[in-house]
Amino acid sequence: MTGRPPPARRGFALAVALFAVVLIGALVAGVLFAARQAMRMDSNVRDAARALAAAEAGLAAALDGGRLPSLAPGEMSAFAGSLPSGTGSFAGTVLRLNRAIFLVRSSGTDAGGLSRRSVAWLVRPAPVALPADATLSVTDELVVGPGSSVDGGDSPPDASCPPAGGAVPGILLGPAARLDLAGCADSSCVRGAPPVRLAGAAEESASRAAAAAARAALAASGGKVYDAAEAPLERPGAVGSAAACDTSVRGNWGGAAVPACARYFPIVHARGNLSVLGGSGQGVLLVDGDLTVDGGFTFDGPVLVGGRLIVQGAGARFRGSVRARSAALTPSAAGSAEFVFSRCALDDALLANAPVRPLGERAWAELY
Amino acid sequence: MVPVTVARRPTAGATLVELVVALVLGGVVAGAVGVVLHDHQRFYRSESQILDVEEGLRAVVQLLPAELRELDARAGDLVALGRDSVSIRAMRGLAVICAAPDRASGSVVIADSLTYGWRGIDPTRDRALVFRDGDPGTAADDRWLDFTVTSVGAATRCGDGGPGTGLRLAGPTADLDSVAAGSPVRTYERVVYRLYADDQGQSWLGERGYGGGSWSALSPVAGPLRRAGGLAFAFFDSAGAATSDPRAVVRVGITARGLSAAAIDVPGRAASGRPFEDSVAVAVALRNNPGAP
Repeated sequence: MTGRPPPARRGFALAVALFAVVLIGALVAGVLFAARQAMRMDSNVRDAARALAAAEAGLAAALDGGRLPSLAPGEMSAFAGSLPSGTGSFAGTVLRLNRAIFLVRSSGTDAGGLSRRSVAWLVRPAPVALPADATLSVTDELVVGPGSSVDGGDSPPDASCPPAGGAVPGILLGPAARLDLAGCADSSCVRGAPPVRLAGAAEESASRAAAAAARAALAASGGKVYDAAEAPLERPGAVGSAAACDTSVRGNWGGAAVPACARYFPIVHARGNLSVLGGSGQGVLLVDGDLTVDGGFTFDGPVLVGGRLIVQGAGARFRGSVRARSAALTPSAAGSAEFVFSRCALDDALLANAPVRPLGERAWAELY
Repeated sequence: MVPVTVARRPTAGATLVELVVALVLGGVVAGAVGVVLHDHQRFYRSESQILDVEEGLRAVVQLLPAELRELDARAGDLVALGRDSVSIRAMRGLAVICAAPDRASGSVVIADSLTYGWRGIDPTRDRALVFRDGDPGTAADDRWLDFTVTSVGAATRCGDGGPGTGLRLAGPTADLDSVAAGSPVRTYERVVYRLYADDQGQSWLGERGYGGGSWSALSPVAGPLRRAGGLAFAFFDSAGAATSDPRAVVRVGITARGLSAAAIDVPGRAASGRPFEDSVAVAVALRNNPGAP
């Protein structure tokens, strides 16, 4: 007998099983998809919160200590960092918008780099309130010798300043002060609105108290300190390269002679008497004792002298505002003692040394 | 004998027994698949309801904090406070003036490179706050001037030659005299957020804005929410006490309670057979009013 293979049997169990597997797989995939979507949305919320926290940490880091880089209007500096928790990082910029306002921008990113948020703070310096009520204020005695001039007209030092404002008194005297204008017989060397004004007792007392408070606040800010027993200082001035201002040099008193030091306005504090021969500087000059200047020294900014101001020899020029207990402006015949009021020079020096704070209103913004 | 081979056709069909077994098995499988499909559909529908509620809650806690965080209550950005509503000046953009303003025409130019916002300035809805510094040497005279934006002009140039956009403002234009280049500008619109019920009785977080001299109709922006207590605001001052004074607020508490439109049917869920409910609470510190305890 010839054997034959058994006939083919066509079942459908496999097909049904496959169909069921595919169907159940699709159902499970659908459920997983929904769950995954929900999880992703929650993750997005978490990542966005972390990114915002990182961005805000960047703002706080940029304003740490209330100090910002020394920038001219329109200039910008960058900063970056990461959170100690490892949950994010930040990078941002500080842009000086104009003389008084800075825009601090910070972008935060969560650790996975999936979410990014940007925030900003509008900040401004909060300078000490220093009364700038005259070009030269003297409490006890003022001697104006030949070759001296005092001008209360506002004199902006450079083109970056706002337009000149109104004039102030050239000389402001305390109620008991003695004025000797022997070197300026026709008073033409003193100009202002008015050229000379005598303060009342109450006004003088309030002004002196405000100046003392400002002086204490400025002295507490640090800066370049000179002890009482310092030798006469010769030719301070700007020190640095074209790219950087070397602020570590004690004799660097800033100034546009070195472009990188044009926005450097140090606080110079002498704890006793100080003698300066020649040179230049800008910022705030605080002298607890007597200040003697010679050799054509120039200074832009507020000058507060606790004792006597003596301008002698080749003389000096001050732009801003000078306050002293007494002053003797007695340059040599070849020298001069020149005092010019400048609101801009005062603002530059005080703004540069002021801690920055967010604007009083609407300082914080989220950037989109 | 010669063997005879009888040709037989191959068996292609099935016996009755096989057929019955196959039908029974097929029925069992089809029934099981049907049950699974039905359960899944029920589950999926319920899960969709749950997801809708959770997504709505998520939207509430994303949207409202983002709107409130940037406000300055002391400056009047919180206009009116309610238990389930809040009326605000919602900040919409930040820009920087890049040329001296023209006081006579009320024109300012903002720098394109320093303009931020999730939409452009819309004169029909937005107002502009311009920062007036006054004396740069003191912050005591700083203030924000509030203007109507009458038009957003064509592209123009800043004082430094960079690209800018002109804005025409109406309001205290005389005070633009001491607004210098570099002054910031904030744009805002008046917005009310509140709990409201639509025609179908479903509750939502609704929004309406003020523009063109009138308020728009409320439109839903997030939900669904519970009709009673679906949205609750609590306002706190710097001492941590509840306050109803809009200018004293430093922190806002927001509680949103979601409720699904239909009952859910998910075995194991406590809410099975009832509409799904969930809630979320968030506290927002107003960044421009530090001092929240």
